[in-house]
Amino acid sequence: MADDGYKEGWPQDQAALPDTSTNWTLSKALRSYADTVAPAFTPENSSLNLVLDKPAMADIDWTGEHDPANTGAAIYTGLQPYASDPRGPAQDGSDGSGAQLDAHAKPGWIQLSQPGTLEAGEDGSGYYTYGTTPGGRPGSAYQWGTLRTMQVIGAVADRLATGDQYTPFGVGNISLSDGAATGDHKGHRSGLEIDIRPARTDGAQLPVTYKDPQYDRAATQRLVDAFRGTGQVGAVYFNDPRIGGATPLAGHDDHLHIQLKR
Amino acid sequence: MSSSKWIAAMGAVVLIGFPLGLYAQHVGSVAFSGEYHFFSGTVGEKGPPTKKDVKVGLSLSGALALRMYQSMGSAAHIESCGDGDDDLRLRGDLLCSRNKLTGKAECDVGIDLHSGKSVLSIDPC
Repeated sequence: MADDGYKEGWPQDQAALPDTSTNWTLSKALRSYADTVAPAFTPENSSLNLVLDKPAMADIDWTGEHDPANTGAAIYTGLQPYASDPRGPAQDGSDGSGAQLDAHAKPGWIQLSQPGTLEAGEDGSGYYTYGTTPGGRPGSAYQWGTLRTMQVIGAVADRLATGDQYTPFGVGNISLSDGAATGDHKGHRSGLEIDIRPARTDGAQLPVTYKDPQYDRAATQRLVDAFRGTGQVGAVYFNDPRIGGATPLAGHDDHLHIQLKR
Repeated sequence: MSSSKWIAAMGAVVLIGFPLGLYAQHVGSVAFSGEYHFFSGTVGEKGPPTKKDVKVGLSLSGALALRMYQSMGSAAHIESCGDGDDDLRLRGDLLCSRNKLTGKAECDVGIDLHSGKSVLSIDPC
């Protein structure tokens, strides 16, 4: 993937989010911060590149080794796909960790942990899923990918949370377990592509386009920056021209396509 | 019929019939292959068809798709954001691709059945 010129990583003049209240939401905190101290936004000096008191993304081992300093990177440690699991599938089709197993899965691929299996505030609950099965029926069939992909999602969820406060972001289709082609996407076969919903001002777990009044540009920028901050992203496709670090592409008014580096 | 007359007759068939065959291919109906699916929403938020929102996605293949791909011209090329095995061409809501390895083409377009207008039916990514 060609370099698209976006400057990755967190800015040097990092600042902490203001103290959170019990009804904290990402959008409220961002607006509060932007109203008071944020300088004019540029992709290189994003006022929304708020960094919390957490380790740098660059310190994460993206190969899946457990990093005790970063919970996001550790979410999937120890999970193995069914193909290499001598125990075979559990009776309920899971390995007990929240991830589903699939005999047809590509070696090394795992399914994104579905937040419904986790308690609020647990690792991984910084996102929600809106994946589908081929054709658009709700389901999780499209939420398979590489271990690194799951690490990135977990790390972004971790990065966007403050303590146990967060507004979950929506994770849509990634790949089918065997990477098969479908009539829904031209891509999404490598396990390295993630569809993400833009943020909403009301925090509702619903679709939104960048033209809707419920669209939260500031929070969406922070989402893009969080993914970019992992250093694992090759390109982001999204049509809001005021979002830095994203390239416009037909069909991307209502979701961001995150392409990880190979 | 002498052999010379037979050759002349066959030549006439070829000279007249072949162009006529081509003409018929252009103005007549020619069968094509493809698939379809019904859906609602957008390519980023697809759902099952509903009473208020029903669209049909048409996926054309074979010679028709290849000709459409070629007719769109190289100016319609867009960067592939997927696995890179397809050359993509996009004009409006019509997305055509040709696989770099197999040479096979596919074209996708949707129709909103309540408005009659075209929509994207497949995510370019």
